Amino acid sequence: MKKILIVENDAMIAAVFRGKFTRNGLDVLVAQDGKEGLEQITAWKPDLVILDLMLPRVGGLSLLRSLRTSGPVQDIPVIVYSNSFSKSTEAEARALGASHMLTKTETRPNQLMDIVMSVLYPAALAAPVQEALNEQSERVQCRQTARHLLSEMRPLLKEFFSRNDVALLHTLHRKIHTFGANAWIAGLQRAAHLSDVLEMLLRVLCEHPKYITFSTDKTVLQAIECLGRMSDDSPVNEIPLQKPAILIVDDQEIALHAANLALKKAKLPAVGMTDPVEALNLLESTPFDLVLLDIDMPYLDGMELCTHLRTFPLHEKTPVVFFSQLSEVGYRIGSSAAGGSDFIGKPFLAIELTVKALVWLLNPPVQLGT
Amino acid sequence: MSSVNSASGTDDSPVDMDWLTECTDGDVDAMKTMVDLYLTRTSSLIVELNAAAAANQVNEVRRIAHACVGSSGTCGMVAMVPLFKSLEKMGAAGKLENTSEIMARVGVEFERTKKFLAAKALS
Repeated sequence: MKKILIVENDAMIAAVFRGKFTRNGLDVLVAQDGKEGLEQITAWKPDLVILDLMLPRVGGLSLLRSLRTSGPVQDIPVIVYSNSFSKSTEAEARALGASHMLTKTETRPNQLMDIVMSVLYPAALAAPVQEALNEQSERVQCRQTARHLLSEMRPLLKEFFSRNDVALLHTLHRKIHTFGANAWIAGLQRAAHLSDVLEMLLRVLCEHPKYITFSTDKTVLQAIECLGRMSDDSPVNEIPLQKPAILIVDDQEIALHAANLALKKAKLPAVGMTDPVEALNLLESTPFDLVLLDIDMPYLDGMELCTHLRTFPLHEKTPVVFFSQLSEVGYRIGSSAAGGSDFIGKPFLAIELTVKALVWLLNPPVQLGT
Repeated sequence: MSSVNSASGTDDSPVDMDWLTECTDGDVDAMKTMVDLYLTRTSSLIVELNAAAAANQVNEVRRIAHACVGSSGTCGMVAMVPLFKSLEKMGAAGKLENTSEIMARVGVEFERTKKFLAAKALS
């Protein structure tokens, strides 16, 4: 019997996969952190390791590094499955010989099962994976867990706002991590997508509390509210976001470049323009799902542009998010009067912009209208 | 809430490398592109800013300094941000006082920023 070790600190995820693998005739062991994972690999010598990267005690990458210098077990195949990878993380894991890099939000549990079987039985591609478990009950259970986690997050965030205690943000980060895994198994594709990037934002804020601002607070709150809206049983919540059309208008080339990089993180390609007048001409005839506008631009500022675009039938209800310097409170009020939907503080964390864009693309917070 | 990267940080580095790394997802090529864009653009804006300050063009000083605040903040060039902010405020208030002193500091900090980035092999 082939042996598979799951290194995963989320009990729910581990239980789901233990069930799946066991039912498919595999001998399964679970390690709840990286240190235990390394010990089990050395002692038990599994045929395959499924490795999460975000682990307590010893992280996933550290485990992989140690494994590759561990003599008799160094060649054991490893499938990394985790939330969004940074380029550097992905490159390092690949260099360390991870056979597959799977993003949780893009890989259904049954797909992972197929990949596991193809790694363990490469010559027996025809061998069918007999997935006999009642996936529906798993999904129901995970949805309930996800909703319960959300109910815990709201008061936690409220407490964080009043106490500014970063420890609370760490707790929120862990809950979002678990929420994302549950949403993923539950088939809540949209919630899983957003929680994936929200987890990245929270990680940055936990590591660098100096980056916490009113803008990031608001973005985190909006994202959690959005997760709430996307966690019911509505069929739309199971449909992944299709390629949206996004327009960014900023006369500063660097800001435009940074915004484009940020959106690419979530695979959201955008059209960038530095000339607001040209942008207005484009908007008159071209539909967009989201418009990001700088305020302070020559010839036609962002608010004027927004006022104009609201007169185009195509863009009566298009979400418009303004880039706003943190000190420009007056501008923020004015941007709302000009028909803007939201704002993000400048300079913005790249990942904050990604979260903000996804909130408006996946499930806008209010019914827009002029 | 504490403020975003407007201060020069506790270690007196002219660049907030954590910010720059986050901004570019840790991709060295993307970082170099961003740095190159910043240095080229800011270099010419500083020339324009000097000219506008010398000619007492308050609106131009405000406009250019505002652009410099934005791009410096976006790239994590923390030593530059407060200087450009001071100039932006002066321009907005219509009073250009001690600009030559601030512009001299802009020159010094810009050179320090360039050296720091060169030492990191980013320029």
